[in-house]
Amino acid sequence: MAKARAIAVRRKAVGNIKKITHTMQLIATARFQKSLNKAVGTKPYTQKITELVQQVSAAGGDVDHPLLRANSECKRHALLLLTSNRGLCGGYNASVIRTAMSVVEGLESAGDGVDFYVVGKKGMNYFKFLGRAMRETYPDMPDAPSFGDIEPIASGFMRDYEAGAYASVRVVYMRFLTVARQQPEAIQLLPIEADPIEDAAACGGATAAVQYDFSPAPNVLLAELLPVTVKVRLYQCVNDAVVSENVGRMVAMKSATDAASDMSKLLSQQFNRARQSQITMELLDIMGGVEALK
Amino acid sequence: MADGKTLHCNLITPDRQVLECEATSVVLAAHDGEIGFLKDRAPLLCKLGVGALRIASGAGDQRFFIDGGFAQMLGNELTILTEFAEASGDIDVAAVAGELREATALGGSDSASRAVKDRAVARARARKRIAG
Repeated sequence: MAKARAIAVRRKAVGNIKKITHTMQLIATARFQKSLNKAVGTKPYTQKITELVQQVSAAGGDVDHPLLRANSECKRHALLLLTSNRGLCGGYNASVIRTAMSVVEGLESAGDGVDFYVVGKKGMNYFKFLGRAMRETYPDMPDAPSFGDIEPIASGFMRDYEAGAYASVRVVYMRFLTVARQQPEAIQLLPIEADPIEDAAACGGATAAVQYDFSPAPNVLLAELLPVTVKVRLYQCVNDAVVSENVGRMVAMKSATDAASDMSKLLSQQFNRARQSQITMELLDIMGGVEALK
Repeated sequence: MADGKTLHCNLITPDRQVLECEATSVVLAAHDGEIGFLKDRAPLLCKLGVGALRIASGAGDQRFFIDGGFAQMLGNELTILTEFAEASGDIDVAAVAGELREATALGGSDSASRAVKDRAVARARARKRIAG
């Protein structure tokens, strides 16, 4: 009976693990919904700011702003890595870190230096393990960061960039595409890539048709709008990272629950077989005893 | 869209759309003083300052504190983009009084710290005025 009892103990343990992973899956699902709603809620502001930049650039002509200018003489780059504080979210952290390291290798092979800014304990632990210094860490980032949490980070980067401390500021994060698909991505936060401004020039017909009153002048207004676009872009990256982390955890916990279910079924079969063979052995013993007494 | 003598008003922060309504008139704190909007105003793009946003509609008046941002008036649609918006009813008067005390106690030895102090004082005073 010893083998059957050992299997029963194991089956119970697997059942308990299944309960835990299922609960974690439910929590991750609830958090995912909440973070997705938040990410969707930030869209109107982002879209409108982009639209304003396009309209002001269409009216404003040439723009010369420190955030648009390349610091070509500088050989240092800032890299902000967005990771999670907790694990059990599948390959989320590993794939973001892998992308970051390939960016770093590219920059370092060109002879440039990189300053690391790391959000999340998982990324911090990785750099500690590598023995690489981090310029700044953010271990206390809330699960649902607000614009107020992100704003000082973006402002700090803009201050450093304007002072000429960095040739570029890049962000590595997990971009949320759909529930089934997220991909690690490295974007350039600074200098601002001139997409919206070029888009405005390209599709200038619709925007140029409106004669706006500007207060203050368009070039001054654009200088005020550009820092906001940087903050909004970083905020979007952080929101995407949070949603992707929750999706990662949800999927990982679903796989763990499914695996525990399969294992529980297998252990039940093994237990039944072991118990049956035990009964057969006992019956044979009894039959053998009866035959011996005849 | 607007009907009668109203314009469509949207108040948006980075976190969410705070308000969407039809309004008969809107007055807000621009960077160089207050500015008012009525139906059929010419298209405008302006920078906002720190202060009040007052929205008058058939259902009554609403007041908000806004801290910077941008406003766009186009085709009877007014969009207000601000990093921070707070309804007058949500402002904690006691906390604002404390904030004002702290802001006035700030040191202002050089121009940078004086600017920080002035902004903090203006912010606290505006919130106090809107709450009261």
